[in-house]
Amino acid sequence: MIELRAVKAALKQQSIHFFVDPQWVIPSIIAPFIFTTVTLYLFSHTGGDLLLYAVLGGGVLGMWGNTIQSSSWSIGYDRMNGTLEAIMVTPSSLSSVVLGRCIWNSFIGLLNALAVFLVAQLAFGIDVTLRDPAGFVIALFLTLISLSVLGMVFGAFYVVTRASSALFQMLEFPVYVLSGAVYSLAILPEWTRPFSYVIPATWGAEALKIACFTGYDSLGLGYWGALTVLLISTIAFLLLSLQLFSYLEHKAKVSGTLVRY
Amino acid sequence: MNANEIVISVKDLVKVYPSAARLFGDGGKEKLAVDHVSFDIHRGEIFGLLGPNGAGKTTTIKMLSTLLIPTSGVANVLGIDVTKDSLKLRSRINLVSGGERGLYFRLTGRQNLDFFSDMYQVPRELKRKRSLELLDLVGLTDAADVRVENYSRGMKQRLHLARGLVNDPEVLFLDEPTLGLDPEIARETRALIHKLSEGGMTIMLTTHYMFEADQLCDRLAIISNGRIKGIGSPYSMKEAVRNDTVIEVEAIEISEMQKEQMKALPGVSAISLEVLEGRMMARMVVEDASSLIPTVASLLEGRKIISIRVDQPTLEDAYLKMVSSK
Amino acid sequence: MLRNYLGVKASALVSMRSQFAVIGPGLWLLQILSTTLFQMWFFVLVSDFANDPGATPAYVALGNAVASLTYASVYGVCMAAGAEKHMGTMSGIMSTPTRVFYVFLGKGAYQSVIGLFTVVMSLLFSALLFGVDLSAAEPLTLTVVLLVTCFSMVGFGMMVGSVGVYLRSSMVLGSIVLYLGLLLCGVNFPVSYLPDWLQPASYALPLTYGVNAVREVAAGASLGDVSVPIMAMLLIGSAFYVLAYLLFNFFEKLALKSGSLDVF
Repeated sequence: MIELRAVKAALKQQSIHFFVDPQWVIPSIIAPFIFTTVTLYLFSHTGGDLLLYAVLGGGVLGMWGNTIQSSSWSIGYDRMNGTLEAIMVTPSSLSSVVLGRCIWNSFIGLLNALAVFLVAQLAFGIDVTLRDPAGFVIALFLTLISLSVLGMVFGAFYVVTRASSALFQMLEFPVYVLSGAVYSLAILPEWTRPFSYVIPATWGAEALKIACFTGYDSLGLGYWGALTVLLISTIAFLLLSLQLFSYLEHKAKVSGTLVRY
Repeated sequence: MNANEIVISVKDLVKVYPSAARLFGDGGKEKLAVDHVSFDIHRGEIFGLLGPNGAGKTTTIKMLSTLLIPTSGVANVLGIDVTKDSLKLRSRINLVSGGERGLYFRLTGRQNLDFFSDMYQVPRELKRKRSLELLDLVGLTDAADVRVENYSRGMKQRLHLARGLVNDPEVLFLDEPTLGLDPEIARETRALIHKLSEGGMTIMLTTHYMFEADQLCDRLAIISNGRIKGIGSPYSMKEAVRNDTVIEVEAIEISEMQKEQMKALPGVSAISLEVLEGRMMARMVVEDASSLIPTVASLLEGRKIISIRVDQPTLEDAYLKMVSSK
Repeated sequence: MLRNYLGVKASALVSMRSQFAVIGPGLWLLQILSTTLFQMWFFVLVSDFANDPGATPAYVALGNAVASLTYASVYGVCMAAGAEKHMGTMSGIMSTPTRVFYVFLGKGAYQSVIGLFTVVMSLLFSALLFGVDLSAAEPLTLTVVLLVTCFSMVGFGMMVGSVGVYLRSSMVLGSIVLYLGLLLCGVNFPVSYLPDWLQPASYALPLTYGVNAVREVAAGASLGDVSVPIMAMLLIGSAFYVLAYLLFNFFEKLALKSGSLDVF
């Protein structure tokens, strides 16, 4: 069950943490920033639209990088603080708290897109023009929500055991690979395709590129098709995360591991 | 307010911990933490759970505050089963665990209260007013906008209490509320707890401070190794040892072996050993002091005995006797 | 001297034991190997898509294999001071007679072992999965190059990590240096691709020499052929250790003065 008030409170709390000490966002966005800047350099010899792919893809990777780091750390931070129990004894759900934090962190991940955009402008002089600005904003917003919800799925596991953080932080780079955010999925082996299609970042990146480039449609579903898949996967992950939270919270309460850090 | 109304009812509560949590399955060896515990708590009373470290106090209080799921047994708080309707219950209770952790240290005191007010779904029109009142109640108005990482230990404890009251709970669980506090802050905390109880709040607290249980609690349960050893008011517990006496022996040194020998003497129901400055003190709860003193003196032959005296039993002795019993 | 040696040893042992306190060896191994593999794969795919003859997939794979040393030897070491403060053990360490530099040297020693293991596995990945040809590489020469690269990178990590004694920022710095090498050190593309004003920074980092040396060894270079980058890394690495020693002392004094040992 998602309580909007708790989501808002957690979002606000996370934003306060950010503004008190903004340097802590760096560990979460440095990987996508460096990865996309390297990509820009590798694409610079080819140039053209590829540079813009890198900028757009960088935004998506930044959102994902920040989300996966923060979703697993979110519960870990509460464990460290000793506030996990304080939250769980309230009538608001833990899943609402994690969602609120993931939304803020996904949003901040957009800073990576801004940083990459600046590098692209200054180092490569690329010009970003959007074919469909409204479509771009909608796609960006939906991608943000979708990645946040995916982050919740991973955050749930940390309720049971601290080891989950290690397990799910491993998923940061696979999403970079499988989402095809900065390159075409066609260069990946066929057997990876189902994994790519399951990741919201794939469809988010696709919709963003369609909104930018005339004639672009690498996955064959068009803008609204990509957004529909994004929406369906978001709902599916949301339902999955709620089930997971319920199951894993129960497990943590049986084993008494909420307080262990 | 009906003082006879049972607000917390616990029957045969058991908690067995698996040894480690895994994502899939459970770890190996189990640990029995709470072993068929039963008690009732009435509305408006301060009920204490007294016991040594590892006795099962925190486990019990966490089960009642819905943080732990019992292995078996039944617990109802405010008529609600803690395992079946925990969400419904949480808006009416609160738990304060205290200590250095449990607060967001990069947020201010006020921001911490705001966050938890939202988590407790405190009506918006009440939220601000209540936060101000609570900060005033715990003496943190001036420090409200200071980050918690800059608070002293006492200030953190006071903020914990404020957080524990954001939803104006009917039942407040306090887990070792004065642990690690300096005497003045601890005294203020106890005074506040007493005040809350007078206002009608039902309070269950855990402690291992004897004098705190004696001073604060209307009734208490003594728990040891997960089992309840006795329930009653502090007065009735002291009455249980009224016919006993206490022998206090001070010597330069008393070995563990000598302690065990004294414990094994007939008529000795409990013994504690304390290290003081330059000497040790053994305190024994006994049926008949006069017959035992010569035996005790001879057991300690070879050790320099500083004094042997006879005393009246306190709550601590009653506790020792219960904890030592099988 | 003996006290300091004992401090190094004790610190290394603690690092080793706490490594597996939260996650078991299996999960830890999975984490390290999957991270390096997917990082390598990402850049190989980018390079494949870019189709730049100056930065082929095999070029990128080999660069990333060597760069995998960074996780343990730089990042792991750099984070150590911040981690001690985070866990509240820094005051305890500082109040011992062992100088704090030697404590973190012990951690560096342990992380070196992890780093060398990681780079060997990464080289295997690059050869088995991404077309890197190591058949011409002399094993002894390769071993020497990797050992020297690791030595100098640990020194770099200690120098950067020393700030963690005084400030909270070592963890932030650690995350930056973890990935900076991918951009600056000729890992994914030649250093010449970078703007002229940025290239000197590349040559201040030991990884640049390490990556170049490994590329030459893979192409069949002997120990004598790579003596220049080896000497450069030994020199730079030694300078980093000296700087680290001085900085640890400096930040220790600052931390004691400001009371920031327990602030995280």
